[in-house]
Amino acid sequence: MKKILSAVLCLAIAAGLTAGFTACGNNRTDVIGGVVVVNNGDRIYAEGADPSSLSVIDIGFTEAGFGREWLVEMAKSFVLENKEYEIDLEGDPSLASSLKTKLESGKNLSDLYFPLNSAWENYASRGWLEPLDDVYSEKVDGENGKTIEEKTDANYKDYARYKTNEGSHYYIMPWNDTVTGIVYNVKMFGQYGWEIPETTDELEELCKKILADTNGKVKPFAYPGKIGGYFDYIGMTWWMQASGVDGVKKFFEFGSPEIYNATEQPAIGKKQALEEFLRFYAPEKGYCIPGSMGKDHTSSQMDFIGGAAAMILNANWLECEMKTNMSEDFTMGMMSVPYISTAKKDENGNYVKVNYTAPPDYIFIPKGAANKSGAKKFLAYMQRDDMLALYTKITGSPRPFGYDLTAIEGLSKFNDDVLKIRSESATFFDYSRAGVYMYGYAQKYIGGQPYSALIRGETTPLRFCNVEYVEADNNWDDWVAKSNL
Amino acid sequence: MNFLKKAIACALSVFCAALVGCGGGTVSGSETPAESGSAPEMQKETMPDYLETAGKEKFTIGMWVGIPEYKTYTDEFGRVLRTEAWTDEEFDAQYKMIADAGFTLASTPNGLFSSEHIVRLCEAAEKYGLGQLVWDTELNKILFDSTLTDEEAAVKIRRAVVDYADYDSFYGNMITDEPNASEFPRLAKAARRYKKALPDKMFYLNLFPVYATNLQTGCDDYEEYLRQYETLELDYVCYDNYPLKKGPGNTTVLKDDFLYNMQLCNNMQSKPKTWSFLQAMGFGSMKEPDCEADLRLQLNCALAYGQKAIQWFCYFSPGYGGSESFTPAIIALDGAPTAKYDYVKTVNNEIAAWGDVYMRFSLQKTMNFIGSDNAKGSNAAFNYYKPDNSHARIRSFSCRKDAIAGAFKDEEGRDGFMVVNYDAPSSEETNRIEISFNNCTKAIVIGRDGKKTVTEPQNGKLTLDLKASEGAFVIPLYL
Repeated sequence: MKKILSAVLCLAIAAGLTAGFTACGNNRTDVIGGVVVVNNGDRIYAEGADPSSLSVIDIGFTEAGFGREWLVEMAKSFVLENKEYEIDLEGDPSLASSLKTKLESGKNLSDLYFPLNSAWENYASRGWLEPLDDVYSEKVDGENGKTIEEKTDANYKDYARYKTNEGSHYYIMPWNDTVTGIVYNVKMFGQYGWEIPETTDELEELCKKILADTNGKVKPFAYPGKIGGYFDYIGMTWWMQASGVDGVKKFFEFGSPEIYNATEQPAIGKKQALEEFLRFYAPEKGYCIPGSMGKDHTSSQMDFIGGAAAMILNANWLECEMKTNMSEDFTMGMMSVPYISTAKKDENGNYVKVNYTAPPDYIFIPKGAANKSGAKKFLAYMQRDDMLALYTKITGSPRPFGYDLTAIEGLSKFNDDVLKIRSESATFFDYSRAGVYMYGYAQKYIGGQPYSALIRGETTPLRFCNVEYVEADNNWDDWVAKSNL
Repeated sequence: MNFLKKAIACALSVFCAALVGCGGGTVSGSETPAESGSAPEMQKETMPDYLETAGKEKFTIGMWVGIPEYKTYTDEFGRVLRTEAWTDEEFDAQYKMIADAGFTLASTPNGLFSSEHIVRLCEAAEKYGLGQLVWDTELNKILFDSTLTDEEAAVKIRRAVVDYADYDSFYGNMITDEPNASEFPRLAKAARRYKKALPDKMFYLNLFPVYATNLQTGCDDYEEYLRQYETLELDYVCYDNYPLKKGPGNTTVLKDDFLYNMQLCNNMQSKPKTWSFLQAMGFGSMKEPDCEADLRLQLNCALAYGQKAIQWFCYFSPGYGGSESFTPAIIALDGAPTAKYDYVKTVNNEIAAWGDVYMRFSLQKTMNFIGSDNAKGSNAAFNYYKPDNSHARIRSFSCRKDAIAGAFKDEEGRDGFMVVNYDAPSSEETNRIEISFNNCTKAIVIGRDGKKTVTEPQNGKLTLDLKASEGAFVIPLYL
């Protein structure tokens, strides 16, 4: 397997070294290692192939944190082995926002889509997604290897299967296995001798030390207040610590309005998490860069890599996303979210390590796709051990399949931290098949995420939880009835 | 005809023919020339007389979120420090800013406000020559009150609006936003009641965009949603579709269903006038507009699809945070203009300079063209439907970057074409567009600045060099 991976990586390196030629306008065509690449992925096909006779696989993908290099390299490898195919890439940073229009109209469809987390179950129930059972049953690593189904992590396997009028099928393939945490400036931590905190008490001590050691020039945290989702990486992890993964799973069963009752678990844990959030992000604490409420993810990440803050809440894509903006000597690491005082411990008195993996990004084939067979072939190819390793090698990110991560060489400290956190933690991502949740009535946070409102003083943790409980209690029967229509 | 002399002498940016094609020669041919036919016989035309006299009908530019009753001061974290009522001078200054920025139609604010505030809005709008839409909760109660007969309702409606109905600025009433189709039957009844009592005013409501879910619209698909809306028998359709996205790198692109939404409205059987909301602020993961081009391209697309009004979302800030993660809009909560004010002002005043001419034309169809630089040979925004790119007046159409062209007719049958560079608004390249017209001895070109220029195309061939987001309105003439 290492040999195959090496060959693929050589191809990738060669791609970077070989000069292409520039055609009229901005069109650039590179011919490297027997593969023709137009405009860094607009079209990819084997050298010598007659483009007019190729079976084209059109791929729409979210071109965001992980970029496109991984997909270009996989496509190059694929067309080298399958010279009858051409792969066309269509990158779109917010692909999920226009998917519904494409699927509903049945027009403008790619053969394979890679959206970020979104409610695909609605697409499946409307008959828009191609069942993928045949792909899952493939043994892509040879006859002695496992099927893709056997290689897929159990949580995701459950998530990928859904019952529709067509029966119960796999409709999606998981894309990323997200790892969240606190990303920190390794050099800065080394320079000042700051220690990685294990508990939130230690984290608060660290925040004070950062301010003291730098005379307030460096703030402990940067954050993107315009995009509240990042706060959930820490909030959900504290909730999981306080209520246990099983407790949060219980919440996501949406059995009754009592799940919002903040005098009992699992809602107690949610309230504690929100209280802990304010401990670090309340403006009067002074731990965050002023003006962050108006910043998006890019500008807050620039604050972090520019040294204005020592830490930022983020996930496994950060290094890949910011690599073109980082100076050569900038090193980032990821620490687990420090333990809240009410965090659960195991029978030996050790903290139970948890990681919030966030709602999953996924891959699917539209039922109306023009080249479903080609899309399935490429989708299966992506789950080969060498392709999974290639993905991690280029992006630094794991995928939720069984493959040997230890064989991947040259990963950064950040990548190593990510993989270590992943391997040591019990994980959870938002997912429920309860009708009240799938119809959007009962939500993780009724009325939207509370974090911005908490920072602005518009609510308190207790008030937020109480309002949720009242809302759920008043409307539950109606929600259930509407969900069953 | 004074403008003619000036125009011919003028060095026009749109005609600056700096040849920058591949190899320094002429522009390479588009892969999608307009399908040409043999030049049809046509009678000689006359120079339109509306170029020198401003028309009465302006292009409507509205907004979401008008001036609230109170201004709000916040700290750097968006925490509310205090609210204060406007002084008369401050309130007047707010409406002057609206007028200066080229708006023609103001809205009421979000949330609750007093009936006195409605009167104040109408007064200020009247002073500055603006229309004023009014959200009147008391009126809405009457419209939807099933215990009233239509006659009883008409009396109560007239009483409800008595405090502001006499203002010339009173344009109509805002009834609802993004209704589910299940609400259409009662809205249809309310619309009939409203029109009976206030026949000249607008029964205003805004529909979901094409990307709304079926749970939101209550219909299996968006076309069905629009069909059901037509049961209201209103002469317009209004929707909101916010298209600005961050593209790869630091680029800005438009969502690919932005044009499709426009086309679906144009496909409606009742042929309503189309109004739409365009994006003037970032929220959530939507891109914050950071230059005029981000706004201009949206507006020019709306023009190319024949829309009769656009509205900017949002004018006054709807509050910060919340489930939409709102940040300051064109005007911040304390009443201070943000950077977006100048962008909107520039773009609004560009169309205001020639909107009266545009309003004389009616859309026939919109064409989409792939540029010769487009290696893929396709554009996702053009793939939702197959436009008919043939036009009797056009022999050929070529462009370096992708382009759209709305084909119009004025009241006297003259052709007009709204040609728009559909390259990304962040692009630094110029789109050379060459159009060869049949039966064209002269052409009037209205550029971004609203200047009307007459040229004499050789063999009917016109060259436009449009920068990112730019458009030009072309009237070919057979004189």
